[in-house]
Amino acid sequence: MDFVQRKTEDSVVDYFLKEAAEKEIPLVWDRYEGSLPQCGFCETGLNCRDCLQGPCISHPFRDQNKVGVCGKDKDILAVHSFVRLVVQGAMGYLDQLTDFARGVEAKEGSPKRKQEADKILKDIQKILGNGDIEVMKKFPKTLTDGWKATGVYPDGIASALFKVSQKLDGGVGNVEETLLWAFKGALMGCVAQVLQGRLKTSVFGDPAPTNVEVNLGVLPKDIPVVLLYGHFSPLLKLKIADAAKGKKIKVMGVCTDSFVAPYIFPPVTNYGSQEIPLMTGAVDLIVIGDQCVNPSLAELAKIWKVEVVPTEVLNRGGLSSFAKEIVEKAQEAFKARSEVSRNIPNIKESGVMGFSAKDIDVNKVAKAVADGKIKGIAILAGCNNVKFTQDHEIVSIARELLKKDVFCVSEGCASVGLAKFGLLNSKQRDVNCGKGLSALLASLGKNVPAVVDLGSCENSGVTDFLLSMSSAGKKHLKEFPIVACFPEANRTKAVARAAWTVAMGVPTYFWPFLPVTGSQKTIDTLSGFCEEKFGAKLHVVTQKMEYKEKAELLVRSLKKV
Amino acid sequence: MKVIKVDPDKCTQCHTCDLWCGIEIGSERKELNDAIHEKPQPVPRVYVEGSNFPLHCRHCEVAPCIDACPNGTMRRDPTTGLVYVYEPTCIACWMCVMVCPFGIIAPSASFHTAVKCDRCRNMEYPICVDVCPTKALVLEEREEGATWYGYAPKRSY
Amino acid sequence: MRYIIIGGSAAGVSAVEAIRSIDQTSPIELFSSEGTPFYSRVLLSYYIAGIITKEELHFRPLEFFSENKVKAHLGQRVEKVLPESKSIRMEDGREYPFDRLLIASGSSPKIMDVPGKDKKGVVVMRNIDHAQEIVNHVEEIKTACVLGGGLIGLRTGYALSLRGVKVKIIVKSSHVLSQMLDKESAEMIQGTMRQHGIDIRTGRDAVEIVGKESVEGIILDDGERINCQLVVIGKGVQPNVDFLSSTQIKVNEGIVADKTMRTNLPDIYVAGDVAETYDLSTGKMGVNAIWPCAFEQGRVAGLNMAGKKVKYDGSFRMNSLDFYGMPLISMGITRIDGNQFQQVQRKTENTYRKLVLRDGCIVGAILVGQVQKAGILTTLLKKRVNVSDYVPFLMGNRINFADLLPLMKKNKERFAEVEYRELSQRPLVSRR
Repeated sequence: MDFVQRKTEDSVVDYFLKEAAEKEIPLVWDRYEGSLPQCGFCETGLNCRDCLQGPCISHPFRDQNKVGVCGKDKDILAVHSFVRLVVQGAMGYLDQLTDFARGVEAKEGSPKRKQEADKILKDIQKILGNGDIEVMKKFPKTLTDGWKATGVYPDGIASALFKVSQKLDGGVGNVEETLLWAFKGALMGCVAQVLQGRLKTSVFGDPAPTNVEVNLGVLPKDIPVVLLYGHFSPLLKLKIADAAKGKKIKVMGVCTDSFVAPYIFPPVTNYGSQEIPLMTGAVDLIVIGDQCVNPSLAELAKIWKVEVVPTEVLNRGGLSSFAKEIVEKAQEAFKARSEVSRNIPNIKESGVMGFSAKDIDVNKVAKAVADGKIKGIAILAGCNNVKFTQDHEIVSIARELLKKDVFCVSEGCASVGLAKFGLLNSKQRDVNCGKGLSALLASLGKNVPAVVDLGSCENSGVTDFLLSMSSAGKKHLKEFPIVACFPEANRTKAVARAAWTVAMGVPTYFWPFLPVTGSQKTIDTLSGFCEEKFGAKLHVVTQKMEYKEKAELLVRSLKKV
Repeated sequence: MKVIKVDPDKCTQCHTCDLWCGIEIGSERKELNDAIHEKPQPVPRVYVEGSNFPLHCRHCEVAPCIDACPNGTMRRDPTTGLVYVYEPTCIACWMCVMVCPFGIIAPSASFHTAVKCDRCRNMEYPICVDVCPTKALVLEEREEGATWYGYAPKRSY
Repeated sequence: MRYIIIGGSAAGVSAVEAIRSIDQTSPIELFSSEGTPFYSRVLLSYYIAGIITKEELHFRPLEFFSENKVKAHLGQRVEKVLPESKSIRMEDGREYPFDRLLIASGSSPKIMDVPGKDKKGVVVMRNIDHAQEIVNHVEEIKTACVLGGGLIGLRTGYALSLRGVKVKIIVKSSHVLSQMLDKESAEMIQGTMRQHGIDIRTGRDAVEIVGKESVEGIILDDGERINCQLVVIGKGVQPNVDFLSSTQIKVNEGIVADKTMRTNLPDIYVAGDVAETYDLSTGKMGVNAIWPCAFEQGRVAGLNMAGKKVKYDGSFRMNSLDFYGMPLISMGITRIDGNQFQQVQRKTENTYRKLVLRDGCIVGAILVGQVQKAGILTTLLKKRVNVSDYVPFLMGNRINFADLLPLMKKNKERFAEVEYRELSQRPLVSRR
C-alpha cells in the first residue's frame, strides 16, 4: 500500500491498515493499487463480451475497430454496459425476496400477522407470472400511469428481466428504447424491495427506531463472536439468534440488515472495511451470504483461524438445524482460538437506526418545505468504494447538506458510515444541522437524529417514504424538491436502485460515474430523455470535484417549490 | 539512448498502450472521458500489430525519414538522439511515410502533419511502458557502440 | 585534409554533416552556383501555392555553414576540375586545391526546343529563381499552360490551381506521369484533377509558343490555340556533367559511382542527382534524381571521404504526392515489359495498389489512396528479400511490420541494422 492519499476517514480502520501494511497482509486497497491502470475501454463502457465472436471494444482513436463485430456501435456498447449492471442489481433484490418468501412458505418461521403474510406471498407468486399484484395499487396513480404510458410498468419478471437480458444479445435497437427496458427491469427490483419490506413487517412485526452502537469497539473480548456478513434470509438470522440466546454468544453484523425483531445485530463496520473486524482477532466465526461480501474473507480468515460458514450452499437443509450447527461451531472455534490475541480499539459511536416510513410525519416535512424552513430532501445511499477515501465523500456531503438545511434520509451501509461519525447520534443533532432543519427534526421526535436511517436495502424504507410523501402532497414526486445521491456507490444493486429512483421522478447523482461515458448519446439520453419521460435525470458527472462542489450541485438541483 | 523493447509473450493485445498514447500525447484535454470525444480524433503513436507486437518508432541509427524529409521537419534531439517531428514545419508531403521501414509514421490528413512516436521525449517516462498491464514493454539502453546520424538542431522544442 | 564540395543542395549538405560527425577540424569549402543556400527544391511548388513562405524553404538554419565551420562560396560556378593537380578552377581563374573532392552538382532541366521558348513568361521550373518569377506574376495570370506530364510540371500546375489560376496540362503520352504510373493509377489522379478544374490534354504536344514579348498563348499539334499568360516547361532533368568533359572521370548518363560513392579516380567522390549508381529495381546502373537518395548518397560519400568505410546499397526511384486529398506513392519499376516480371493489382472505388515482382522480389509498387505503411514496401524493395509467400498479405489492408517478423528471421543478413536487433528483449534477429 503506497499511495499518499488517506485511505479512510475512520481512525480505527486506519490503525489496522498500518498493521496490515507492516505485516504485508493484502487488503482491498493493495489489490486496487495493483489493478491500476484499469482498462480504459471497460471504464468508458466501450466493451462487450456477450458472444464468442469477441471480445470487442470500440477504440476511440482507430477507425478499424470502432464498431463491435456483430454491429454494436459505441452508443449501444455503452448503453449495454449500463443494462448489464441494472439487470444484475435488480436480480439482487429479487433474490433476497424469493429466498425469504420460500422460507416463509416452508413454514420455517411463524409470521406475526399471518393473513397479511399470506396475501403478500400470493403477490410474490404473481410476479413470477403476469405481475398483476396488489402492492402496485399502493403506488400513486400519477406514477403508475406515467410508467404504463412509457411502457416501463413492471409487469412480471419475464418481461422486466428476461426480455431485458436478451436485449444484450442483439437485435436492432436504439439507445432510448434500450434504456427504457433497463428502467423496466430496475422497477421490478423496486417492486421486489417493497414486497420484501412488507413481508418482513408481517412476519416479524413493526420495528421501532433503536439506539445502536457501531464500530469495532462493540466487539466483546472474552465471549464467542459470530459476525453475519452480507445478505441472506432473515429467517436464518432469526434462528441463529434464537440458538445463541442465553449461551453468552454475541451475534453482530457487517453489511447486513441489523433489525430482525426482536433481535438487533449491531453493525460492526461498513463495506469498505469489511476485512478489518477479522484483524481484531475477536471474531470466531463468520456467516457469509453472497451479496456484498468480499471473497478475500476466506483467505484472511485463515490468518486469524476464523471459522467460515457460507449460507448459500446447495443442499443446505432445514434452517433450524443449520443455525444450531453454526452456534456449535462458534463455541468450538472460540475454544480453539484461545491463544489468538485480541486487539480491540475502544472506538465506538452510537446512533439511532431502524426508522420506517411510518415514523416520519410527512405532513410536517411537507410543511417545512412549503414554509421554506428546509430546502428540500436528500436521499443518501450507496456504501463505500475503494476509489475514494472511505466514508469521506458521504460524511462530508451529508454535513454540508445538513448545514444548508436539507432533510437527509439514508439507507443501507451509507447509514453505518454516517453512524460512525455521529451523524445518527440524537445528542449531536443540533451541532450538525442548520436552524430550520433542527427545528423540523425536533418536531418529528425527541430522538430523531440529524440524518434519518430508513433501514437497509432489505427494507423498503426509502421507497415507502417517497410514496407517502407523494400521496400526502397529492403531487407527482417530480414536483417535490428531492434529490438522491450515491456518493461512494459500488454494487450493481446501487445502479438498479439509482435507475428506479430516477423512474420515480427523483434526480439522482451517482459517483463514481457510470460506465457509459464512451458514448455522449447515452449520457445525454440519461439526462434529457429521462427528464422527458420520468421528470428526472440520472446525472453522469465526469469532472473531478471536491465534496463542497458536489453538495452545491445537489442543493442546486432541489427544485424551488 | 534508451529504446522501448517488446516481450511478445507478455502482450495480450489489450490496446491499453495505444489508448493512453492517444489520450496523453495525441489529445488536447488529456483526460480519458474528454479525449475520446475530441475532434479531430487523436492519433496514437504506437500500433498493436501482428498478433501481439506493439510497434513504436525505432529511432534508427541511420534514419530514412530524416533523409527523406525535404525541409528538416524530421530531426534529432541533440542530447538523446531521439527522432521527432517538428510539427510547425511539416507540410504533409508524406515522404517520411514512404520510407519508414517499420511503417509507424501515420499520415494524418486531419492534423495536416506526419505523426510519429518520439519515445515521450518531453516526459519523464514513456506512457505506453508505464500503463502496460503485463509489463510487456520495457525501456532499455541501446546496445554498445550504436551511434546516430542526421540533422540535430540545438533549437528544438 | 582539405575537403571541397561542389554543390550546396541535399547531397552537399548531407556530406558536410557526415564529414563533421567524424572530423571536426579539417577545413571544408563548399561551392554552389546558386546564391540561395540550402533551400529545398521539392518544396518550390508549395511556395508557389502559398502554403509556405520563402524562409520556410530552407531545410537547415542559415547559420548552418558557420556552425559546421564550412567556408561557403555561394553564387560561384566551378568551371573545371583538374584531377591531376587535385584542384578546381573557378570562372574567374582562381584555383582551389583539395585532398578529397565531392561532386554534387545536381541536374538541370532538359531544354525543350519549341519556337518562342525565350519569351517572357515561359518558365523552365527548376530553381528558386524560376519559382520566384512565377510568384511575382501569379496575380496577373489567368490561365497557365504546363507542357509535359512529369511530376515537376504537375506539382507546379497543382500549386497554380490552388492559387486560382486556370491550368491546362499538355501531355505527349497517353497519360500523365508516364514514367511513374501505369494507366489505371494515372487515370485516377487525372480524374481527381479534372474534377477540380484542371484541364488535361493527353496525346498532344505544343508546337509553338506565341505572343509578342510576353507569352500570349500556345499552339498545339492539332492546330488548336490556347490563350495563356504563363507557360511552364517540365520535360525532365539531366545531370550537370559538362564541366567534367575534359577529365578522365567516367561519365555515362551521370557520373559513375562505385559502392563507396567514389568515381573511377581516387579521392574524387560523387553524390546526388548527378551520380549514376546501382539501381536496385532494374539491376543496372542508372541515375535516380530523388531527394532521399541524394541525402543518403551524400552521407555515404562524406563518411567515406572522412575515412569511415560504408557501403551504399543502391538507389531506386520513389515519389509521393497528394493532390486534392488523394495521396499517391510510387516506387521502382511500374510499367513492365517482358515476362521476367509479375504484377499484382487491386482496384477499388477510391484506392489502387500494384506490386511488381521479379523472381519473387519487389521491384516496384504503386499505391493510391491507402498509402500508410508504404515504407514497408520500400524497405522490402531495398533489401531485395523474396516475398513470394507474403504477396496476398502485402496487397491487403492489414499490412504491418509485425506480421513480417518471420520474413525478417529468414533473411537475417539483410536486416542487420541495430534497430532490427533490438525490437524485442528476446533475440528475434541475432548479430550473426
